[in-house]
Order: sequence, then structure tokens, then C-alpha cells
Amino acid sequence: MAVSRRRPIPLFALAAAMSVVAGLCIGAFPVGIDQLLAAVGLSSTPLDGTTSAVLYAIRAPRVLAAFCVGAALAAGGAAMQSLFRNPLADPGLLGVSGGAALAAVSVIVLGERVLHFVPPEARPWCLPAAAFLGGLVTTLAVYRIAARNGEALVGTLLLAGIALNAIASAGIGMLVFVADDQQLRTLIFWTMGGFGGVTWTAILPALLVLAVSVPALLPAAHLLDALALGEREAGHIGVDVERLKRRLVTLVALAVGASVAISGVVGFVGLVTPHIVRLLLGPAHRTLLPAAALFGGGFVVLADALARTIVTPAELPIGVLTALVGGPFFLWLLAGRAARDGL
Amino acid sequence: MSALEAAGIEVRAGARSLIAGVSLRLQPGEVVAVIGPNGAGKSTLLGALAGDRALAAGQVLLDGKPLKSLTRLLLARRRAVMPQHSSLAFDFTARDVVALGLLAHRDRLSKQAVQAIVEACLSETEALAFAGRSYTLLSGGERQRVQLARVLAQCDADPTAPPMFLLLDEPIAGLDLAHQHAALASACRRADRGLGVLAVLHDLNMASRYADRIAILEGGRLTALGPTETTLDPQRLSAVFATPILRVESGDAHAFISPG
Repeated sequence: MAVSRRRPIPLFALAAAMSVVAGLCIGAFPVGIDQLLAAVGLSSTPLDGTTSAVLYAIRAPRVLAAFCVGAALAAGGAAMQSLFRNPLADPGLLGVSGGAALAAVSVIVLGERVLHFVPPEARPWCLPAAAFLGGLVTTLAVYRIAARNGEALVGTLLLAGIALNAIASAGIGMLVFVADDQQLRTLIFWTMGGFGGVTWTAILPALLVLAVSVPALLPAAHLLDALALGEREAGHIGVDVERLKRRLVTLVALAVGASVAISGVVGFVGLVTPHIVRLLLGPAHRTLLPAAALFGGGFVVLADALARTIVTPAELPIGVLTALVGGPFFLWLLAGRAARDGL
Repeated sequence: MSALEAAGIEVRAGARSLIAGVSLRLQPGEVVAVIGPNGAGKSTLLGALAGDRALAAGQVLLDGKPLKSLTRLLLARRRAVMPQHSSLAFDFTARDVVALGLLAHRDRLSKQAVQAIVEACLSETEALAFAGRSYTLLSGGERQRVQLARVLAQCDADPTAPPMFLLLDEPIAGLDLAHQHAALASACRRADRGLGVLAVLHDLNMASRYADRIAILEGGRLTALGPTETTLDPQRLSAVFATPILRVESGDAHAFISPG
């Protein structure tokens, strides 16, 4: 319950809305603002069938998915950093996304053979469910390995992440050998991340999971603030820390798992976004969580717009772009910390 | 009668007993100083009274009820704890840190009430000057005063509630002399308002000046517990700390010195 005077959320919301508009307009098939307005009934400009089809069937689900994934990764990253009391925690670096991806990829490759008992209408839920379980298991594993008395040492944390990522890529590598050609292409897409081929039916279950799990972090904002004091001290001022940790781990695993189910591994969003927002607005989670979610959503929408335009007609995997921004940023953070306190 | 009470408690770390057979009843309105050599179990006792430590024997009771039966939230409304070392994971301001002390009362207190308590406590520990600065950039002594303001805020949150108990683990370590006196005077003021205060102290003169009762821990055992005047006996202290300690009178005041 930080005493915060600034109310910057509307500004962040405006910027996020602008990036969504840009995401809808930019692409191999450009859409004008007037056509966009016509599509939502705000302009009388006649809308041709192609534009309408591109907007509704391709661009809208894609931009919505990108926004939700960015928001979930950013808010999930912020929550994770609070849980680990460490600003370097990131779902991708710690192997949580990797674990979720391994589980999801297993469903893609082995699903046909294993999931006969699942009724066809429940099939779309298997992927996010598996990704959630994969995320949950890895989050718990990292926490078990790296946290001592509720405090995660950076070194142990990152090493645990390296190990878990290695295990996840080994698992995905094994699946490559049993996958057929079509599945193989999907596999590559999963490990690099991307929103190509997103359709309403494919993303709906995961979007529903995100719509529940990300806002559910908000009521815990003041408890996340308290965790900054340390787990014991948070307990002293009235926080049921064990319950809070269970809640955080579950929500983060849901958010990251559902994100991975939609787009594969999009790295560094959970690291970079909360950090920038903290620099701008301070660390109070009541503003950090929603601002990071809006910022992360807008960031991924723009990154995706870039990914599908700079090499048209092909597409760059979006993970390549976020890593291009996030990798150097992470190194810069590491160098700063190493200089300050030897890690 | 309200009280925070350790009844024959034992705390173990693995096979080793850190404190054993310790019984101590902290009552509203008194200041108890816990003294003893390094490793005697002072912080362990404080941790047990705070509800942080698993007990191998005995129990800790708040108003007769075992601590374990109380929720974290209820407990936070009845006792505040100032730990020996406090780090902060993110760059909250000193003012934000103090406001966290009121977390257990956030549903009840208005924003204005929160601000009033926070400012009063910052002012009491002379921390207003750096209240807007990032906690992580403050000096050790400044951080200590911010943490003290945080627990004072927790104590002051609800004057109508049953008495609070304030547990301080070496609250004046790292403070300059003036702030040492100010910190313990703050604690004593709370005792005058009906709070029970227990502080782990290393400075015998500070203990002698501010405590109503003294508890001496040696090797995990409570070897003395009584009024300050009689318990702080130079002969006993010399034995406890294994170094000669003299009591020097100067007018109305007295001081303990250790000529080595």
C-alpha cells in the first residue's frame, strides 16, 4: 500500500490502444484508419469484403492474442519478480516458458496417439491445460531449487533456469524425432514464438484463461508490495505468506502457460517490461501490475506488426525480435548488478 | 489480563537446542530488555515470541491463546516486530516502507489516516528529511530509523484495540547516541500508553536506563529475570559476559563500564 500520488494508468491505456490500432492497420495488406473505423461502425466509408475478412478473421484475433500474451507475460513477470524478491526473474529465463512449451509440444506431437479419451469439443483445452501444468511444475521446481528462506539468489536462480531450459529443449529435441513434417514446422514455431496462423477457435480457450488469471493478480498488489520487505517481515505485518505464494505460483503458471499455448515462447517481455515501468512509475504493484500489462501488451502487438512486415512475404518469429531487444537489456542489467554487488 | 507469554519453550535447530525451558511473561505497560552474550539465544527467543519459530516444547500464548491459533492478520494487529537486519527487494521510498506497517489495517484506515500516522512516525524517528528517498539508497542508521518508524506505525494504527506487543531485535545497533536514546524513548512512550515492549539490547547502560525488567539469557537458558535495578548486578554481569564490569555512580545517575 504504497503512498502513490501519480495516476498514470489512463496514459498507458491510451498508448496501448494506439499500438492496437497500429497493429490492426499495419501489414502485408494495409488497412486505412477510415476502413478500421468503418469496420467497427464509426464511419460510413463503404467496407470491401477483402478488408473486412482480413480484419475480422486474421488481424483481429492476431492482435488480440498478441496483446493478451504481452500483458500476461509482463504482469506474470512482475509477480514472479516479487515472489522471488529479485528483479531478474523472467518466465523465459527461469525455464517456466520452456517447461510450458515442452508440455504443449508433447500434446501437439503425441496428442493424436494419447488423447483418444478426450471428447473432440474439449480438445482445444488440452493445449493450454498441458502448458499450465508444465509451467506450474517448472515454477515450483525453480522455487524449490533457488529460494532459501524465501529469497532467491540470482546465481542459483539463473543456473536453475539454464538447467530447466536445457531439459525442456532436450525434451522438445526428442519430440522432433517422432514428429511428422507438419508437426515439425509447428515445433519450430513454438520454440521461437509467433502469432502466425492464429485463429479465433484456436486461441479462445487460452484467452479465457488469461482473462481470468491476469486480472486476478491485481487484488494481491498490496501483498506483493509487502513481500519486498522479506517473507518473514511480510508475515509480521499480516500477510499469510504461504497462501500468497501458492496463489502467485498458480496464477503465474496459468498466465505463462496460456501465453505459451497461444504463441510459443516469447522471451524477455516479462523481464524488460516490469523493469521499464518500475523506472517510470516506481515499484508499487497497484500501478506496476496494470501498467506493465498495458505496456507489455502494446509492446508485443508492435513487435508482432514488425515481425510480419519487415521480411514480407515471410514472417520473422517474434521471439527473435523480443530477444533482440531483451538480450542486450538483460546484459545491461546484469552488468549493473555485477558492478554494484558482485551479483 | 493481557500478556504475551512464553511458557517453557524450547527451540531447536536440527538436533541442537537453541533455547530451552524459557518462560517469560511480557505485560502491557512494561519494557523488558533481553541481554546476554552472542549466541545465547536472544534473537531466537524474540523470534519465538513473534511466532516465527517452530517450538520443540512449550508454547507461546497471546492473552492465553496459542499464537498458532491466530491468523497472521489478527497477530499483526496485536504485535509488531523489528528484525535485526532488513533488506528491501525493490526501490520503495522510505515513506512507502513505513506505510507497509499499516497493512493489517488498510481496510479500516482512510488514506488521510494512513498518511497522518506515517508522517507522525517518520517525524518521531527523525526520518522525515529522507522520507521521499529510495530506501535502498539510505545509510544503515537511516534504514534502521525507517524500520523503527514502520513498527511504530503498526503499533499506533488502532489505539482502541487491545494492547499491542512490540518486539525489537537490537533496535539501536548502528544508530548514533542521540538516535539510540530517541529510539528507546519512543519504545518507552509506547509502554506508557499501555503497550508491552521487549527489546534485545547489547548496551547495558541503555538497558539500565530504559528497561523496567531485565531478562538474562546464557547458553539458551533464562538465568535471571527481574527488576532492572537488582538484576543488573555488576558481579553477575561480570560472570555472564566473562569480563570485569563495574558500576560507577555519578550523582543520581550510574553507568556500567568494562575496563577489560
